[in-house]
Amino acid sequence: MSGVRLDKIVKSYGSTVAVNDVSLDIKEGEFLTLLGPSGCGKTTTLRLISGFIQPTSGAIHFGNKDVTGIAPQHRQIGMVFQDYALFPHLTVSENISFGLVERRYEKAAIKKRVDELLALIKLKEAADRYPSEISGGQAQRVAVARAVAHPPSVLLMDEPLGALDLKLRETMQAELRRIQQELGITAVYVTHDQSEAMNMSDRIVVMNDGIIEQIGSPRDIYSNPHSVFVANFIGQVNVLECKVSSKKDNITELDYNGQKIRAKQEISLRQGTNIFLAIRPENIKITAKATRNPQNTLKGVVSEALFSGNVMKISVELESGDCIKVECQPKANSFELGSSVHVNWLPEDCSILLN
Amino acid sequence: MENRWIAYLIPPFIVTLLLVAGSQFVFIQNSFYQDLGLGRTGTDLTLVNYLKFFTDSFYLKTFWITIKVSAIAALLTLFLGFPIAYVVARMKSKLAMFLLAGIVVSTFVTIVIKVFGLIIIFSADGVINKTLLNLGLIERAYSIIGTQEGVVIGLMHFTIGFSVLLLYSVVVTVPPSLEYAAQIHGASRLRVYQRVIIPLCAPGFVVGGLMIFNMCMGAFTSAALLGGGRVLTLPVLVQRTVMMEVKYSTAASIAFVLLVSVILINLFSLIAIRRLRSARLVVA
Repeated sequence: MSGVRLDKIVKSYGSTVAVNDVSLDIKEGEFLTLLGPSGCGKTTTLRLISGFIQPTSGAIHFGNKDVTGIAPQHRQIGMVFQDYALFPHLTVSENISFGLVERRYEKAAIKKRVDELLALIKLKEAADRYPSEISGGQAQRVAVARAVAHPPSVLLMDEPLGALDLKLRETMQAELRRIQQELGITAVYVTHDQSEAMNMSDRIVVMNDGIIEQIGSPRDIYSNPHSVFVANFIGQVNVLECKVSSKKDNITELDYNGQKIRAKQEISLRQGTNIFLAIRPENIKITAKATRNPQNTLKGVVSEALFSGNVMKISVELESGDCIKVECQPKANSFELGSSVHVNWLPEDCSILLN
Repeated sequence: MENRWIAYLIPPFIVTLLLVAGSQFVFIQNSFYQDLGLGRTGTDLTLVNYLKFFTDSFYLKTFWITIKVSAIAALLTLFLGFPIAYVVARMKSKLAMFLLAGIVVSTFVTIVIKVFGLIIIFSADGVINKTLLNLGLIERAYSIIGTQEGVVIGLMHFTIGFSVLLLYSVVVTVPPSLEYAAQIHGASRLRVYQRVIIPLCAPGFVVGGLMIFNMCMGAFTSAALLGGGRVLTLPVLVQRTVMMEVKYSTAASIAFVLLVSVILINLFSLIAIRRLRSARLVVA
């Protein structure tokens, strides 16, 4: 087991660049997720780590070992595929032991390891069944067991839960995380589903157009997105275009449509620069009358109000013409369409997007 | 709803049945009367034609040669067809469609033209002989016409297109991700073939091999032209017996032996495969 380091990886196909100058340091035992829309280069990055494709330039290290150019079968990796890719002509236990047989384990050792793994994935009773005779969730667990049977340097997972229904997907997220933690294995997970990434990862790498937009813990990425793309991709967000008016200690004062807005964030931008400010809908309070402390308060009119069970989703059209989304507890005094309201948020609940 | 339309299929079915089964019946029935030559037959039902077939070493040798060249041709065609089918099936570009179209078109070019092509290439002063002579690999020109090797080459030429198309349809059912999975979990390319691709394609090999074998057993043109009268297979023998010796009953009995033996060989092969499959050596 080891960490994985990508050094200035570039992968281009003709004139199109699939992965552009990606450097990444994956720590030992870490669960790292590559997140992004389709075509962002996340799967290409995974395939580069697996060795099925070779980078145009750059280097890949597993621990201290340079594995660039080494064939997949010699990289000591485990991989879980979106379609499971279980061998249909082999039973569950034969599937699990596939890598062990290929790596010439002794018979007794194979049997012991397969039994251990069947216990880990809680599928002892299905040992002699064929992949066509087990459910999708079970197949996925078998695929994981097969991938980790010969302890891999790194476990790669390519949208492994994509084919499962929502409920099973949530159970499997917890299950995958548990198996990964129990084995203490380094895992790289690819998904386009931001909630999946948030639920499972130690760190998330948000990718777009072949480059890394941001790397950080789920909490960090959610509350401090660096770019409009990241803010929009992870959860709901309101983005307001503002101008930097002054900086004082760690408070930046912004000008939004003539209104003063304060953000608790240090930036190195000059006064007068146009920036985007991101505010999460759940961090915005909505009131009928102006509060006593009129900080970060904007006036508007309710243009839409949706009740969706645990939250009330309200859209407020501001005086500037921008629309702002607010999520609040559904209380008895709901806001009528067309009523004037005030929205406000705390300086620490908004973040300035640098690009 | 759908059943209503089945009624419309009954008339063509009856016509086909009469034409195929009827003519076969007359033909086969004929084989059970003694052959008196020149198309005349005896009046009593008898097995004398069959007894003659199975006691005459000439017929038995022909029978054996037919099975041998067909089996060799079928096996070699599978070996030759599989790599082509595999490469085309795994091709991601549009070239694959052009190649497949080319295979289909060339497969349906009449066998006479193809065999004459073969004869030109392999003839004593053809390209291959000349090249080999010039390279000093052989001392004198070698003709394939009238040799069993020649017949095998002819049969392979006749069936290779079918085998590629058949195996292509088998290979495309094996998802490439299975190969990736095998490779990533430690299997070399060779082991990927051994443990994944070949076992998964095995049923296709069996069925495809049998189909090609059947085609070879019944192949007339390539066997007749490349056999050159010196290598006889059953279809060629049937033709000669009818056209040159005018022995209809004898020809009918030979043809019936050919038909029954092909059916039996297929049946036994499939039963054997099923046995193997239940012993889990081959997969469904």
